[in-house]
Amino acid sequence: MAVSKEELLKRLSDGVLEMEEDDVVEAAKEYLEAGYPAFDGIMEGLVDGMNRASELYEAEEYFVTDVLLCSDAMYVGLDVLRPHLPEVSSDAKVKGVIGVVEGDTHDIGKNLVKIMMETAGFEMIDLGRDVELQKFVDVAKEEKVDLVCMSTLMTTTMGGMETVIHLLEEAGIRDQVKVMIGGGPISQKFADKIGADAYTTNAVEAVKCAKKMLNIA
Amino acid sequence: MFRGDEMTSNERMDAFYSGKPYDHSPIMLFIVSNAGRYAGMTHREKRSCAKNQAEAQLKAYERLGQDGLVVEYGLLGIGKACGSITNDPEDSAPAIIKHRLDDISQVSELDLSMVERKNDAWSQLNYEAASICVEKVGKEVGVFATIPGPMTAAGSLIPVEKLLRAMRKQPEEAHRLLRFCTDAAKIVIKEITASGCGPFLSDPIASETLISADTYRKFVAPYTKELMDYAKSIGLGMGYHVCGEANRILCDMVDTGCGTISFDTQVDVETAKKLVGSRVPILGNIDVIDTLLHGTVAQVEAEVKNQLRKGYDSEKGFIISVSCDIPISTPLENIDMIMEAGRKYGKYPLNPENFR
Repeated sequence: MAVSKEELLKRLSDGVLEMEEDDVVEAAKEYLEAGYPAFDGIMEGLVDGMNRASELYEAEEYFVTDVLLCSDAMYVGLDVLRPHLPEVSSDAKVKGVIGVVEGDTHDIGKNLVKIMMETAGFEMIDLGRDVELQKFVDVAKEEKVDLVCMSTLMTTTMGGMETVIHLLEEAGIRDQVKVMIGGGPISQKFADKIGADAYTTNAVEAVKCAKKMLNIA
Repeated sequence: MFRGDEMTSNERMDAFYSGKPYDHSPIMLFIVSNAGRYAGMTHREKRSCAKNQAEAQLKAYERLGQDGLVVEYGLLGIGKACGSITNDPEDSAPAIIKHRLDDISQVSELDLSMVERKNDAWSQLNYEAASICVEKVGKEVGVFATIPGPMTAAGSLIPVEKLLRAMRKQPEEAHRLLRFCTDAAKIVIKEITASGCGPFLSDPIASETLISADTYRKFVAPYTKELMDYAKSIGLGMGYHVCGEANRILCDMVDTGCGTISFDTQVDVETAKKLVGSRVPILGNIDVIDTLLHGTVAQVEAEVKNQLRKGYDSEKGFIISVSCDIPISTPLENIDMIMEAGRKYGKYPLNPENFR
């Protein structure tokens, strides 16, 4: 007798929440074998688990390590299910470019934001860390992104964020993107000063804010 | 003796720690990354040789007369000694671009002898810098060297994300790495303090911003306690700082046996006073970003008063201080004002009327 779709979705979700990569892979394979649609498996299984994890993170019951491990489980699940998705035009997804500004190599916060944004359905182009300021602009233009996300933990590199905003203006695309910033020394005051569209304190807030700014449910 | 003061810093601190009268609240500043500013040096120049490391501190002290010089062995010292590679920025603290370990299972490859002064130029440089400072001003003021805490040292050997995952998935190896870092820190403490300086432990990565209090208790506290005990065994007390969120680990931090406790803006001085003020002197936490880097001189003055208001009656004493390492481009007048306001409003005996 085939296992019910609901049961498999629950296993996917639980597997992510409980950071059990093997369980997620097994459930994902069974799910596909049973003929259920990959899209639902991703949204109602894996992403559901990641959302539960981020609620626990907000409630300070899950910490950075937990979120990272949950995301590891989610990504192995995605590796199994994604190839079975129907062809979707890449224009459908909201795109963002994300990176840690030039001179800074601290990237855990940026990685958490990227994970949560991808979980929420954004297509994130991750430039990594110590990213040359011009690169934010070049990729934003090339990929026609809607969002430019910058992170830094250091005071010596904060100024780079303001420079990127100027470069976006010079490139004539400042109006076409929303600029979102975050990191230890960053504040709303600083965001206002440099003309960023948003400042958020953590990854969960970043997703909420991005959705609000871009009018996404 | 600093102009205008009635006691040398050493006399002040002796009196402060033994409950005797002193002239004004001690003021300890983390003049580490920005020390070069006092000697017209970029960060690269400052860290290039012992003479410069020392001169930056001496020039800062000459201008400020603060209670303690800080020689920057720094957060990455153990990582660098063992083979992690850092970049070389002109006017910023170096960062690691290639960690020594790719995987936690490689821990056994690490060689403790690489941390020894005779094998590590950076440790030798800082020993010499501390010696110069002690020789020049040691009679009047304390000289300290920053020592990386076990978790931060581990984060300088393996990427922090991998360390976090290992602590959950391969705890034995993670412990092995922390054991190595603890043993390494002991060597550093022993060798650098032979100069006559004291140790100050800084473990930014042990923050609740990254790990749960439970993880801190299992993976950080025991090793930190070992380091505190070690310092005591060679006749030294050691101050302790963890960045970021630390409210739930504050008591655990003091349980390690630290001599003083220092924390970031996420912990309120009043909270610290209630939780641990009866056990150790507490260092204040003037916000280095919003107040010092971006604020006005007037805002700094107001914040010093605010800090005194919150902490002046802490049972084991209150030391005016800052939330973290002072950013390189902090206006020097703002730091001057901490000293001016601290001396004025923190005049002994501390009177709340002075800082209402």
